[in-house]
Amino acid sequence: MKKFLFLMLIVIPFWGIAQNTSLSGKVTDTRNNPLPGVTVMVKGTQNGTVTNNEGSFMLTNVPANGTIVFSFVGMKSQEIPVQGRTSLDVILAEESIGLDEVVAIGYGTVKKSDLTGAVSVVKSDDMKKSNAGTIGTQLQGLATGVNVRSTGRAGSDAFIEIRGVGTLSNRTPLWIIDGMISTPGAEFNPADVESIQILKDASTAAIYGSRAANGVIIVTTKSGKEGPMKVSLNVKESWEWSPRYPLMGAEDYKFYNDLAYEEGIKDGVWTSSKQDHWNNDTDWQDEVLQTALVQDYNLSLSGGSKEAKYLIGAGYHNNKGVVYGNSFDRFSFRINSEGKRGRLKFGENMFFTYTDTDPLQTNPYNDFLRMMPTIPVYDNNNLGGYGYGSEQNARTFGTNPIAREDLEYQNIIQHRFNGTFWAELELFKGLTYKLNAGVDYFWYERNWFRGVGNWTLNQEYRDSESQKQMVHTYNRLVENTLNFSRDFGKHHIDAFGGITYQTFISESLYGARLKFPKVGDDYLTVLDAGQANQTNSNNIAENALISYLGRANYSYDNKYLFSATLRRDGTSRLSTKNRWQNFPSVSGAWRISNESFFGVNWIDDLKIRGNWGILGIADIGNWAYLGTINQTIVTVFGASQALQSGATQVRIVNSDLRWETKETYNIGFDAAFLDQRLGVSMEYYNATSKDVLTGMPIALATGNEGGAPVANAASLKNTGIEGTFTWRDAVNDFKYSVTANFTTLKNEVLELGYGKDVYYTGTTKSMVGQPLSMFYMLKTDDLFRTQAEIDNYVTSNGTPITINGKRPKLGDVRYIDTDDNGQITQNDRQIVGNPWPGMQMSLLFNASWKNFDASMMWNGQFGNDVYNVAYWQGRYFADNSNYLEFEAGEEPYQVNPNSSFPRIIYNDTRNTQTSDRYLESGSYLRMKNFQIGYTFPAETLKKTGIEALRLYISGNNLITLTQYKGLDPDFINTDVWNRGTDSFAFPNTRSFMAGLDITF
Amino acid sequence: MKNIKYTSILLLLILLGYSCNQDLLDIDNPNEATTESFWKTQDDAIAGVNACYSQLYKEGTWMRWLSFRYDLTSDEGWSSSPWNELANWVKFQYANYNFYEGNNVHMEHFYRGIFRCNQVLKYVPEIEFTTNTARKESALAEAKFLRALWYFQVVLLWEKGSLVLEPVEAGYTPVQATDVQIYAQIEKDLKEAAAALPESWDAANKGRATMGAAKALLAKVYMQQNKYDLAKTELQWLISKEGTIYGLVDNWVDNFTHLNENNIESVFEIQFNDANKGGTGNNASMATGFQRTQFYAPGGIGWGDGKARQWLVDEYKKEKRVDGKNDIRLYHSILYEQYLEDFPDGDPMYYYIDTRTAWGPRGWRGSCFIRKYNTSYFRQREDYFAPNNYRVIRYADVLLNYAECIIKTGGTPAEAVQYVNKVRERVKLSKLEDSPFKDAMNSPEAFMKRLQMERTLELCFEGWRWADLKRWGLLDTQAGIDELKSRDADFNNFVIGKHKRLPIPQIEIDNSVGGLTQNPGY
Repeated sequence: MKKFLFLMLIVIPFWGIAQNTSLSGKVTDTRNNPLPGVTVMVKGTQNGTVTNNEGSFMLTNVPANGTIVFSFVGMKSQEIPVQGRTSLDVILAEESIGLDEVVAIGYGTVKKSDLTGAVSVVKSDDMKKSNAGTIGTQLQGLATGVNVRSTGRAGSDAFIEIRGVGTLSNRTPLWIIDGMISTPGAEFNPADVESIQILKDASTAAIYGSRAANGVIIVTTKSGKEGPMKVSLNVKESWEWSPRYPLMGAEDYKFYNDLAYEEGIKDGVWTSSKQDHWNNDTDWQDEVLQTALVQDYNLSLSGGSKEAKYLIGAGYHNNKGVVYGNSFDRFSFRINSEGKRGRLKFGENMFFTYTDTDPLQTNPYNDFLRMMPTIPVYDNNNLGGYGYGSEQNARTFGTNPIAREDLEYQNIIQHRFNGTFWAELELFKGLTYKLNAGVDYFWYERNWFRGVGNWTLNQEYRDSESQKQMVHTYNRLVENTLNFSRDFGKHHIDAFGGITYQTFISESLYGARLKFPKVGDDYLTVLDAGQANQTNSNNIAENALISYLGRANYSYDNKYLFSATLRRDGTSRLSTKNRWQNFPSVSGAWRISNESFFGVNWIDDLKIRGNWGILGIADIGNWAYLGTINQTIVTVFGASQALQSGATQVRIVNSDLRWETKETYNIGFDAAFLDQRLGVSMEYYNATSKDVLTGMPIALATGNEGGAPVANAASLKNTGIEGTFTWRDAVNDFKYSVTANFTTLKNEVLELGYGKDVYYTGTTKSMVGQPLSMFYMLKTDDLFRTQAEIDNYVTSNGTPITINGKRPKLGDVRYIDTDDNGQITQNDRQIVGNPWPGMQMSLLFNASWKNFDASMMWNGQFGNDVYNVAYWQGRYFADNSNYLEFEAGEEPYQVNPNSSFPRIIYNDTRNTQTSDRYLESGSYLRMKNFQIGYTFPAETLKKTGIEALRLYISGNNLITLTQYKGLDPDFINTDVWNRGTDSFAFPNTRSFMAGLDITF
Repeated sequence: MKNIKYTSILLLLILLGYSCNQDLLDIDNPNEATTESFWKTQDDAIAGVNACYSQLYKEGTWMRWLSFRYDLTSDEGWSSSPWNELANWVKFQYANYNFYEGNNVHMEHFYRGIFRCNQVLKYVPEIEFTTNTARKESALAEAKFLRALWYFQVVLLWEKGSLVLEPVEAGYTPVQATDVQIYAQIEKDLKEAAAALPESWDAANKGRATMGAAKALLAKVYMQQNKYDLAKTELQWLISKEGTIYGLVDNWVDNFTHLNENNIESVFEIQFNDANKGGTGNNASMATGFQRTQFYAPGGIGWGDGKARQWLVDEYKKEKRVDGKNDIRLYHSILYEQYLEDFPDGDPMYYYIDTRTAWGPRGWRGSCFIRKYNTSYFRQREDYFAPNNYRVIRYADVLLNYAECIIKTGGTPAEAVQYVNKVRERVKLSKLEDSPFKDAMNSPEAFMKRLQMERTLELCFEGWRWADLKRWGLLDTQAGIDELKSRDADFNNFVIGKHKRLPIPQIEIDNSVGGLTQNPGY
C-alpha cells in the first residue's frame, strides 16, 4: 500500500506539469438562461467546481485529453471531451419526460418509449411522501386508473382496484415482488421499494394471464449500486388523527330525545314515559379517539462492484393507532444481492418481517352513534365494571367500545419470510436461461381472550374464554424461462418463453377453552388454565397453478413496434374439465415522430398504440366447485342428552365453474411537445369481463348455508378514457412540474348469473344494460308542510296513501307511491342513484427552488352517489342512540317547520325508511398530501462526512372539498352488490409528518 | 454452434419434464368428504338424519326467533324491545320485508332444514342397510316428519312458498305453491312417517320423532284446515296410549325444565343441552342450547325483548284452585309485580335479582315477564345455552285438541269436557263443570270459547297461539280482531286479509322473477 502511494506521488505531478490547462465557460439552458449551481467535473477525478450565478465556471488542472461532465438535477448530463480547448460553453437540456426509462413488464423489461400497452410507473420518491405504513396506501393517486382506498386501521393494507370493477371476486391485483408472486400486505416495508410498475391492460398483463384480470403490480426493491458503501438513514415521525362526527353533547341529546319521546307519546306509538336521563356527559369520541404517533425508521447499507452488488436494509414501523385498542408494530429486514461471473449471473432478494397487530374488536364509528352521552364509561354496578346504560335511564343496545376493547383482547403476531433466488445463464449471444425460485412463508399466530363482563345492556352471560390459532402458510414458485434478444440491422427481436409452477399450502390449528381462573386481578390465559369446553379445529387449504408462457416483441427502426403473448394456465381450483384456459394478446405501436415525413418540429415525440388481449382469473375458494359433506355437525339425543354426530351437505356449489375472463382493447397515444416540456398520454379502454366469479346469493328456498355459492355471476363491460398531462418547466432557479391524471369509467352489465336479466339485493338492483348495483329504494319528495298537501296525498284514483298503515301528519316524509296502490311498500322502490364515479382524477405538483423542494398531491372522484348509513343512524330517533348535531336551519320539523328534516318520533319508523333521503353525492377533491423539504448543499456537508441530507415536513388528507356528510367520501365497501353503501366505514386518518433522509 | 444445439435440447428436455406433471393440479380436499363419496353406508344415512334434527339449533327456529312470531305476535305477548324493527315485527308494522330477524331468518332456516331432509330422502333409499333393515324405513320417516314440520311452519307464517322436495341446484328459481298444495305434501309426508316410525325409541334415541309425534302433528295440520274428523282419528291413537306411552306429569313445571325431560307428557320435544358453548354454525362445538330466555328475561338478566300481556294474569286469577290457592301455572308462566302476594311461597329471587326491590316506579313497574322456560331455578344469569328441552307438542295439547275435535265434529260439551278436565285437574283446578266457567257446558259454541281460554292458560308461550287464532278465525273477522285488541293493543294495527300472514321476504320475490308473488296487501 505504501509503495503504491509513493508511486502515485511521483507520477501525478509529472502528468500535471506535462498536460494540464485551465478551462472556463458558461452553462445555459435551452432558452439561453444561465444555469447556476451546475456541477462541472473532470471525469474520473475529484477535480470539479460549481457554476456561479451567471452560470460561469473556471476549472484548473484540466487534462487536455480529458472529459468534462456537466450535471444538474433535472437536466440531461453532458460529457464533453476537452480536446485541448480552454473555453467551453454548454447548453444543458431538460431531462425528457422519462422516455428512456426502462419499465418492467413481467419476465423482462422494455424501454418506456417502446411500450405498446398501458403501464404506469411509480417512483419511490413519490411514494415516500406518504406517511402511510403500507405499500398499497402509499400508492394512492400516483397512477392513472388505480384506485386505492385506505382501510384506516393500523395494521391493514389498502384496497386497490385497477380500472374499475374488472372482476367481482378477488379484486386485488396480482402483486409480483421481485419476481415472486405474493401480496405484500402490511408486513411489507414500503421503504424497500425502488419502483413500481402497474400493468393495466391485457397486452401488458397477459404474460401473467390467468391471474391478471385485476391488473398486475410489479414491485422492484432497491439494490446496491456500483461504488463505495452508502449508508442511508430515513426517519419519519408523524401524528395521525381521525375525523369526528359532529355528535350532540348531553344537553342537546336530552332535548331531542325528549322531543322524540313526547312526539311518540302524542302519536300513541309510545305508551310509557320519557327516559329518566342520567347526568353524565360522556364524549365517546374523546374517550376512544387519540392522536397516534407513527414512527418509521429505515436504515440501509448498499454498494458493490461491477461483479457484485448488495443492499442490506432494516426498518421499524410503529403505529399507536388513532382508535383505542388498535396498534401495529413492524420490524423488517432485507437482503438483496447479485453477482456475476462470465455468462452466469445470480442473485437473491429477500425479506423477513415480524409484525404485531392489536386489531379492533368493535367498530367504534358505529358505537359513537349508538352510545348516548348520558352513559358513563365505567359503572361498577355492571358485570365487568363498564357503563352501557340502563333500562330506565339510558336504554340502548349500543356497544361501549372501551369495554369491548378492554374485555376482549386480541393480538396477531406474524413472521414472514419472502424471497426469490435466481440464476441467469447466457447460453449464447442474445439467449439467456433463467431459473427463478420464490418462497413466501407466513407463520401466523392469533391470541384472543375474553374476560367476564359485558359491553352492552342486557347482554347474555359469557364465561371467560381463550382462543389460540396458528396458521402456517407456504407459497412456492418455480419458473424456468428462456429469453432471446437481438438486433439485426434495424430489426430488433425479443422472444421469451417459459414454464411456471406455483403451489400454496396453508394449515391452521386452533384451540379454545372456557372458564379461566384469575390470579390477583389478571386472568391466566394460557389454554391449559381453562377449565371447560376444550375445542379445537384444524384446516388445510391448498392449490396449485401450472402455466406455459411465451412472448415475442419485434421492432423496426424504432418506428414500428409489435408484441404478442400467449399463456396457457391450469388451476387446481376448477374441475378437471374446466381447468385449462388460453390467454393471448397482441399489441402494436407506431412512432410517427420517427418517420422522415414527420416535420412537426414542436412535437418531440409521438407514438400511437393499440392492443387486444384476454386475461383471466380463478382466485376462488380452493374447492369451490366441489360439493362437500360436513360431518362434524352434532345433535342431541337420549336420556343422557349426549351429543351425536350428523352429516349433511350444507353449502350448495356450482360444480361447473369456469374461468373468468376479461377481454380488453385499448387505443392510445403518447406524445411529448415543446422541447419535452409537455407530455400527454391518452387512452381509450374497453374491458369486457365474462363469467365473473363471485358469490351471488341464491334463493332462500334452496336451503343453502355458508355463504352465497361462487358462480359465474355476471358479465360486465367497463369503458373509459385515461389521460395523463405533464408540464415541466424551469424559471431560473424555480423548477416545477404539474401532472394531471384522470380516468373516466362507465360500467355496464352484459349478463347476470343463472341466466337472470335482473338481480336484487335489499337496496340495489343490477340489470342487463345498466351499471351494476344501482341504488334501488324509496323515492321521497320533501315533507308534508300543509294539511292540503296531506289531503292531496292520494293515488291517481283518489285512494288516500298510507305509510306504515297510517296517514301522514304534518312534518312527515312524503314517499312516492310508485305503484299507485295507496300504500308505501317495497314495491315502490325505484332506481334512485348510481354508486359509480364517472371520473376519478389526481393532480401532482412538484417544485424546487434552490435547495428547497415542495410537492402536493390531490385526488378526487366525481359523480357517484353514496348511501350514508352513519347519517341514517345519527338521525334515527325511533330508538335511543346519540344523534348528529343539527346545524342552524336543519332542525327537525317540530323545532323548525321550514327545515327539510321531518318530525322526529320515538318508536316510529315512518320517517326513517331506507330511501333516497340518505343518498348523497360522493364527489370529492382531496389534498392527499403535501410536502416541503430542504436539501443541505453539498459544500456545507463536505466537512461532516455526510453525502446527502434532507429534512422535510408533510401533511396527509388535511383538506377535503366535498358535500358528503359522512366521515369520509373515500371509503371502501368490498361488497360489489352494495358498492356505494358507506356503512360506518373506517375513515382515512389525517396526519402531519416530519422526516429526515440522510446518506453517508 | 454445437454447444448451442446441445444446450437447447437439454433445456427443452427440462421444460418438457415439467410439462408432463399436470396431475400436480389434482388436489383433493383433505378437510371434508365430497357429496360423491358420501351417502354409501347405513352410518352415513343415520348421520344424515341426525343432521336434519341439528337444524333445530338455529336462530330462525324455536331456539330463538320463532317464538316472536307465534307467541309475541299473538295476543299473549308483545315486544318492548329497544330494537325498533324487532318490536315492529310483532305488531304488524312490516316496513322492510327483508328484515332478517323478523322474516328472512325463518325462511332461510326452514328451507335449510328442508334441504337436509331432502338429501336424506333422495340418497338414503339407494343405501343398503346391512344390520337393521327396519332402521332404513324409520330413518326415511324421520326425515319426512321433519320436512313436514318445516313446511307446516312455512304455511303458518306465509301461507304459500316454494315446494322443494329434492336437493336443487344453486340456480333454482322459486316457484309458488299454494297453501293447499303445501298442506297436501305435509299430509303425505306425515302419513308415511306415522306408518314407519316406532311408537317409542330406546333410551339412547329419545328425542327422535315417533309415531305419536307424527300423528299429533298430522292432527294439527288437519285441524288447521278444518279437517277435524281426520284430526280426531289421529289423536284418538294417542289418547288410546294414555297410561302406556302418554300421560300428564304430576308436577306441571316439569314440562319446562331440564330436570324431567322426555317424560310421559312429551310428544315431540327439541333436545337442548349446554355441553357446547360455541356459535350456531355447523361444527363439533356448535351450540345446542335454548336461547329464548335470554331474550325474554328482564333487563339486567336478558334482553327483555318479549313480555306477556297483563290480561293473561287477570285471566288466571279469575279462578282459584280447589284448595283456594292461585293457579300454579300463573306462577310458572308469568313474572308480574304482585306474584309474591298471589304466591306467598314463591321464590323472591329471580336469577340474581331480588324481585322485592325490582318493581319500583322506574324499575319493572307494569311489566309482565315471560317466565315459562326460565332457568332461574338453577342459575344466576341467562346465556345462549339453556339446557331445557323445548316441548313442541305435549300430551296436554293433544288432550285439548281432541276436545276441540269432538266439538267441531258434532260432539257435545259433555263428551269433550273430560279431556279438558284432565288438564285442569292436573293443576288442582276443579272440573270445568264445577268451575266459575260452568256456563261453557251450555252449548258447543260456549264450550269452544272457553276451550280457547283453557288452551292459552295451559299452553301460553309454547308457540301455538298464532296457529290457534288462525284456526279459530279470530284473525278473519272484525269481532275477532276486536276481541284481540281488547287484550293486545298491537292488534290496532291489524288489517284483516293482510296481516294474518307475513310478507314473503322481498329478496325471494325479487329474485324469483315472477315465480313467487307477494302476499296480498303487501
